[in-house]
Amino acid sequence: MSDLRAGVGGRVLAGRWRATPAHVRSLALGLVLVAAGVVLRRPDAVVLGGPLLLVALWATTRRPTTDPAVHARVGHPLLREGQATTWRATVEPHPDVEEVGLTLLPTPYTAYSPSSRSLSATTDGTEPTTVSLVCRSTRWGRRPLGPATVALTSPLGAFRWEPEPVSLAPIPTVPLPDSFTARVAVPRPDGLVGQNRSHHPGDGGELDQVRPFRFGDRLRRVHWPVSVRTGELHVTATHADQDSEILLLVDAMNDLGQSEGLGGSSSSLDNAVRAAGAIAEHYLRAGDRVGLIVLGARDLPPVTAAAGPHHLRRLLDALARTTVADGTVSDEKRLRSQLRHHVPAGTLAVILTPAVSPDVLAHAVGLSRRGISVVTVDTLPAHLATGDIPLERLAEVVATSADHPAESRLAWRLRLLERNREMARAREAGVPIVPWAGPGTLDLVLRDLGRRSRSPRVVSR
Amino acid sequence: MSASAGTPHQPRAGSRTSILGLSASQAAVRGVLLGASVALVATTLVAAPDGLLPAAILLVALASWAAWRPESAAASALVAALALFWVGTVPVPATTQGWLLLLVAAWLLLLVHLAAALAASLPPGAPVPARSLRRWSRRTAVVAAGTVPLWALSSTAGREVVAGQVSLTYAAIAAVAILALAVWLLSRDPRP
Repeated sequence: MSDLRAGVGGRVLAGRWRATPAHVRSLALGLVLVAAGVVLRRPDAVVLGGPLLLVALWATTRRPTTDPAVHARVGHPLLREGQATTWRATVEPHPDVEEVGLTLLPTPYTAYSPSSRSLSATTDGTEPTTVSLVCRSTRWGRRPLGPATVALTSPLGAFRWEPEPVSLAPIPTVPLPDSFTARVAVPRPDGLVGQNRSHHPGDGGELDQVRPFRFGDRLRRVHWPVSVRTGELHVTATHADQDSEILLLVDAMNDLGQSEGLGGSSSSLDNAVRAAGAIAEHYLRAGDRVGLIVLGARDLPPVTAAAGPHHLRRLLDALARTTVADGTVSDEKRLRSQLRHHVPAGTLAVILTPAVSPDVLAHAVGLSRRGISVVTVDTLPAHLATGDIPLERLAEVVATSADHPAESRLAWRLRLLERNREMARAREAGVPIVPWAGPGTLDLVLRDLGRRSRSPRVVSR
Repeated sequence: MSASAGTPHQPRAGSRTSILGLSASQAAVRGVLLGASVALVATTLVAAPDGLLPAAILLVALASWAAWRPESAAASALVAALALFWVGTVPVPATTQGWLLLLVAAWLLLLVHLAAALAASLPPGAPVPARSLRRWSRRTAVVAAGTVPLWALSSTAGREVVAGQVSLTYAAIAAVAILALAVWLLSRDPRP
């Protein structure tokens, strides 16, 4: 029964009744006082111990003999940043349960209501009792809620039923995409159907020219005013509408800056994940195909490019599972193998990176040289892109800043110099780099890429 | 208290908690624990011919700790120490006032124990449900009322000079009570 009652992702809790220190105290102290009073002829000891003994006897007569049925579950299987769900414990009717307590341990990027993360309820044993704590996830990622402690007590607090701390499956929190729009079409759409204007003439919606009628033109394309004026049949020619493939590459090799969750300061990975979500949402709504590779992330296979609203859910779910690499040799190997992925011709590759990893910028340059349209979005928080960052902020980028502040500041300055040099080289190689700025971030560079794609150039295949 | 299972929602404002992370009702229960302890110490000092002031101060300190951590052994130590303080410093009452003070002391000791038990039963930050407070208050009153016949019996027995060995009589009564309790406990159905 219990699995059904617990719900999806829920758990049936198991524990056993134990006597509380309060019960042991009242029983032992009551007996000792009464016995000592009798033996030592101290009626005052009997009077002092009598009430305690009465409480102990009363509690003993109500000693629970059966285990209660308790199940715990989380209200929702998936959240978006800023959304809340409930952590619930439901106690089936039990005659010997009077008080129910629930406490959750604090977890990062989760706000609880009530803020004490504790709840209590009373029951008369005739109806199911539910205690539910509201948990609000303030950052994308897999969010574990708890562990939680559930405790039931019998009358007079004499016996306590307390299972092991309960840990339910983490709740995926998908990123809340930043607002993003792009008015400029992608440079080289090459799909079958879509909303991007192709360079090729075809059956689309955007006007190309009015030209003389040719064999094979459809009659409904005849432009009658021009035909009447010129005395020769003319037709309206349009550009073909095609879809394109967008490949999002999220650099998870580093996470620089402090993440305070939704509404607070963002780290570089926060910026990258939310920007990737926004870009994916925009282009999927436009009918394009979007794929995703998270560079450096463990256990996160690439998401193949596809279109449609369900694919957005798939992409956001993959972004929610993004974890920053821990800088080991295996991470470097994984990055190198990920950078060997195949990118079809005509793809627009959008690389979201804080640009502190030279491998990723080198990959962007390599893609550009192969004729792939590449846009690099700089996700390093603006306040960190300076060598004069305050000491308290320095800890966000250099781990040893507390012990060696001067050296750490110098190291960060050197790293920024290298970063600027690598970014300049990438720009010279034809890779545009823009800071993330929400709507219109990609417009200017897409326009440039579109112009460049129409001009002949040499590429290496 | 249960939440709907529809779409995820924005949480409501949290309940009030004090600076110590205690809910107001938990703080009140712990205040009762501390107040009853202090009152019992004061009662003992009034009833005792030679009050041990250092011990009283130590007891108040212990009561403060027990109020802060009622689930710890400090609460049991406090109840035991309060009883010992009375028995060790106050002689067997000889006057009506003395017997009345003893009844008050017994009630206060009961209050200390039950306040500690209630505070330890629920999470510190969670408000104690009003229904629980009413239920515990009612039971405290019942036990306190049940103490009165015991007190009256002890008072009468303490004032009357009965022929024979009184201690043996008490011992026999206690033995019978303990025997009855043991028989009852042994005769219960085994736990599943």
